[in-house]
Amino acid sequence: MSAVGDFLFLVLTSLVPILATAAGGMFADRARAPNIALDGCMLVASLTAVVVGTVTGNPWLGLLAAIVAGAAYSAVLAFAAFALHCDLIIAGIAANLLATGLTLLIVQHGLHSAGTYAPFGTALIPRVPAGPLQDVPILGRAVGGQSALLYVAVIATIVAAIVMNLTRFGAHIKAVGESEEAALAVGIRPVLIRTIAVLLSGAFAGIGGGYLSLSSVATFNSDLTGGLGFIAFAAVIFGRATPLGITFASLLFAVATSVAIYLQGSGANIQQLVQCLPYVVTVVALAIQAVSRSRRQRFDVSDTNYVPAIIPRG
Amino acid sequence: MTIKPSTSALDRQSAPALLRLEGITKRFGRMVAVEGVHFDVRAGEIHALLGENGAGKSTLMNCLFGLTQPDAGRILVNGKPVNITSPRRAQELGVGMVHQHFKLVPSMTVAENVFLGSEPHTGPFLRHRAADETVAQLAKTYGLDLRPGDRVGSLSVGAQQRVEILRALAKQVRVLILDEPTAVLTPVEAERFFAVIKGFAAQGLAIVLISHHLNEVRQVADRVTVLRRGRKVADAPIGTLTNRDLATLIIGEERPVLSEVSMGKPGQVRLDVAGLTLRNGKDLEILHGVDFTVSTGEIVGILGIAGNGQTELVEALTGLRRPSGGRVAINGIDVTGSDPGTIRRAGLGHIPEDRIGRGMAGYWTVKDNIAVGYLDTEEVGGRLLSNARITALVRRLMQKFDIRASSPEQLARRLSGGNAQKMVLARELSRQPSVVICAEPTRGLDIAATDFVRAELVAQRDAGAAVLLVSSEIEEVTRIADRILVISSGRVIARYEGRRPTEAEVGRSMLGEAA
Amino acid sequence: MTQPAAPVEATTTGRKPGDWLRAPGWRLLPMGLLQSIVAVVIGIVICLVIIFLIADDPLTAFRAFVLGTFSTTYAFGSMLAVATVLVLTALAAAVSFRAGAFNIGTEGQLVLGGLAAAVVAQNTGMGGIGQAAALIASALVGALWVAIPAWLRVRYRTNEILTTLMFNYIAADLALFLVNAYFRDPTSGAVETPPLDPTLWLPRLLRTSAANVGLLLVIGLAMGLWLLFERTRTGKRMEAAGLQPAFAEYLGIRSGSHLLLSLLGSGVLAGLAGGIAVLGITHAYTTGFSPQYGFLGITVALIGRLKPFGILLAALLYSSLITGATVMQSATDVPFSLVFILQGVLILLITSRRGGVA
Repeated sequence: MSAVGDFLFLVLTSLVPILATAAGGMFADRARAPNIALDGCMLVASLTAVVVGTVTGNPWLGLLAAIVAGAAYSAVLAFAAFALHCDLIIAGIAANLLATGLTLLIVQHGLHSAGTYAPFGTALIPRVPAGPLQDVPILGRAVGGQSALLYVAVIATIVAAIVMNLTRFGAHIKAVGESEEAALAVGIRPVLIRTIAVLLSGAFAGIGGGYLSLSSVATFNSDLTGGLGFIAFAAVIFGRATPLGITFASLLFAVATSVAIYLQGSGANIQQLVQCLPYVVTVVALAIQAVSRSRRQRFDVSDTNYVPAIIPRG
Repeated sequence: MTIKPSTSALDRQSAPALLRLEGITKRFGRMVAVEGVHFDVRAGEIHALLGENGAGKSTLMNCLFGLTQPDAGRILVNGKPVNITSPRRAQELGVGMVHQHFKLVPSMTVAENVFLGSEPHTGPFLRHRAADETVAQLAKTYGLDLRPGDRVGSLSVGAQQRVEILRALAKQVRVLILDEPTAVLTPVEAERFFAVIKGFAAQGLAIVLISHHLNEVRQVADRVTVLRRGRKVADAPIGTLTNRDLATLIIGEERPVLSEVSMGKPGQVRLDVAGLTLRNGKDLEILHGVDFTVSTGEIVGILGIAGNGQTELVEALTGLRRPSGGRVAINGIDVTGSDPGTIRRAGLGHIPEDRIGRGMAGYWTVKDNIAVGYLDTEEVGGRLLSNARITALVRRLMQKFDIRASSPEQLARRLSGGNAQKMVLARELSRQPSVVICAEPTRGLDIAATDFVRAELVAQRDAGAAVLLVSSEIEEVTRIADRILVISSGRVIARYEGRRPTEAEVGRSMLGEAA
Repeated sequence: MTQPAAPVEATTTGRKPGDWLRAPGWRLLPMGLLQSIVAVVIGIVICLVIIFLIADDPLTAFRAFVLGTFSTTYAFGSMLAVATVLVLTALAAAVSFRAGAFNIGTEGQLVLGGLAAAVVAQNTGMGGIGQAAALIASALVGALWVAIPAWLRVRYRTNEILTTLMFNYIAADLALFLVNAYFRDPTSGAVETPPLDPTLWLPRLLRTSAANVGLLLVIGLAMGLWLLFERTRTGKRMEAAGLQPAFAEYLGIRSGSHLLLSLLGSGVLAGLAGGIAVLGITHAYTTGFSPQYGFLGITVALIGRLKPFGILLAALLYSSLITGATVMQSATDVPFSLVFILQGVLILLITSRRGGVA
């Protein structure tokens, strides 16, 4: 029983960065301006978090700085895509590479560290005890001592869902993403909406990034994200950019990550192999989605050439 | 929007014009789209606007809806001159337009679509219930069968159109412009649609109906205006004109066929189409059992208003779509449902309707675009391609087909429409295929290029090719085709053989009026 | 971002998330040599600015960065060796981009290719045969590693960007596992294969440097690819399929099989890059033997405008900057990571469509 609780604990821990980032990625994807640089945003954000957290002595300020940094970094992407007119995906890939270099430069030059920045005595994001749930069988173990950011991530997802489905802005995002002509016809400006969506995704990624460097150990290195940003991006796609979908997808990938961590305890050799489990699961999920989509659609004519669907009479 | 009691026909005729266009003229470069047109719209009246493609209907309505501004003339709303600078302004003045291509967001509900951009809200939050109620009320008032909570993506085309109409009505329009509304409706939906707009008129709305279909217009319109080549040629109550009169007005006086093109001498059948049927992705029949043959030495023209299945027919014949039934044979070889490569090898040359998307690679040079059609020959080299041979071949063809480009290295996307089409011709026709299928070959071309293309098709015919010409231009088909098939709604509804019919005759068939 | 032409259906179409991730590679590359030159110049200027901001002695640092490759024979040789690998990864990226797909998994393909080369060389005979076998193995493994994402893309239109990227991470873990489990050098503390016998090393070009015969091989490959692209029928068909799929379909070109072939070829080149890096530079598979050769190759491919000859020049140029950065790092306090910053900036500048498209 306690093993199940412990496993769930792991799952929830792994869930935080994926879910928080995916919630923001949802906006960008729905607006048809997918932010594939989420990983880079997370990286920049986590460095900012640990630096600001160390300097100010307040982890929450670090988190705030991370959110701002994430948004600011995604502004670079937005600039490249909407002002320089780069292809958004290629610009995203470039932004990821740039983030690695930038953070490495700051760590090596600004923080005078060879590769890993591990300040001493930084206050971390506090953990939340199980409190009233302590004696509940599985739940108590799963929830006890989780980082406060778990609750922040969940709240952020709920807020994202509310914005997406209950506000005017959400309606405009959907319009811009699904039918640019419909949006233009009523005076909505696609570039503006997309820019805001990209900035939002960067901000949410900031939460994820802040979690990576300020929740368990105050540390940063340029491999810190380990592709989590891409996994979050995949969660958005696999979850079809709906709040429920991305939650489920994030849970799935979090479970995969936890299984990998869990199995690391056993059998030294298998250890390295199972570390790739989350990535494998991501690929499998995307493949399944693509296969089922191709079953449903019938590709009669090639993509570039659409034919007006005229329904004849009589 | 005040709901007036229904007005009688007499009242409607004498009612003052809600909206008046006076002397509207619009030019695009040197082409005059609309010239000196007067058009007015009265409350409670359904006013139909008829004319061929390019007659100026869309331009005129675009001026009214603020999508473009006239070069001369003025627009008066309730007697006062106004400047309609944008669709927003038009809406403020009470003019609404329902376009042929819907602008809806599929994942959102009817109510959400209707109020997109001007959603009822408290702070940042949407007031879904208020929107739903308003939409339900409007739908009831105007007799539109719509549920506010339905997802637009799941609605039928007819229902989606009603959403667009409701969106216009929600903005309190007094004049509603409908652009080819029945083009996407089934007959049943069309009937319902007529009832609905008659209801609108009864409530005092003014309706402008742009249409091609004479019978429809007769069913619902009170008054009709006919445009031809940018000018108004008629404006009268519908009762005073017969369909024959209308067809003549639309197309022009009966002219004897002034064709210098001799008739072909048909020989062996090269293209044999039997019982061709096609269903689209939504399982609706687009082609219903089309039969015809094309022999060497003849040009068979398939004439019809765009959107009646011609595009799909060509795609089915050239391997870009798989037909649902029937048989297609080229040179005796059964190529039904085969891929484009196989069909080409059976002896096909294809001048596609979508010149830029399908007929060429814009980022390639003229040289590459032509050479790619010769890759299965030795003319472009031995085991390796020979730049010298390719350049020589391309230069030769550029001269023969009068392709005006600075050099073979010019990017294809920089060519004018005429030269691009000549490039496509060069690739497809220079190898003398036994069957040539061309769709809308002179669309968008200037006169010189048009003449060249038509002359080339006739030359191919005389050299023994079997040419299938699919076009929506009456003049083109009557000029060079030896046999004409008129297509409507995926069926061949008329055949002309043995002689060239006049444009008026054929035009009447196209418009649905028996010859 | 340009989208494929919006569907002109009378009914509305539902756009699903992920539909637009399939832009043909050509569309993002405005044609024009000028843009490459301008981008490189601006990129170097930006590096200048960063150097000026962070270096104690900016002038020395900058001089080391730009000219460091010519400072010693060893540096020059290093430059050639790195260029050799970069040419291959760039060609791999170019082949894939021209076909209309983004294979950004070249990093993973090269890592596993390098491992395969080390293992095969270790276990086959000495000398030329061993080298040849090792290189062939690395090429095959590279193709194998891209095979699944490639097939998923061709058959089921799965987004290859994410799949190839995921396979990068999987490759890193897989390589670690394989080396630890089966191929580890028992005498070494690091995770690496035993050092290869010198007869298996690619023959040197310049003494006391890492420049090796691989350079001649890749020049040959680049010329071969040029021939393929410009002078063969297959090459022309592949180009049509990647440039304008609807046009290719209309002509009867089977886009699917051409795309698959291109992606597999891309994998072969990336795997081979790993093999040459191992046999020619590090002489053993060591973890982290690749300083992001795969991604650097993408940048080089873009600078070289996806043309083999341009890639050769661009690889030499970029490799000079890399060697220069190494020299700069040892001589001053400016870290090597500047190169990665330059990389990101260059990609953005080269693919920018501001100022009109050709």
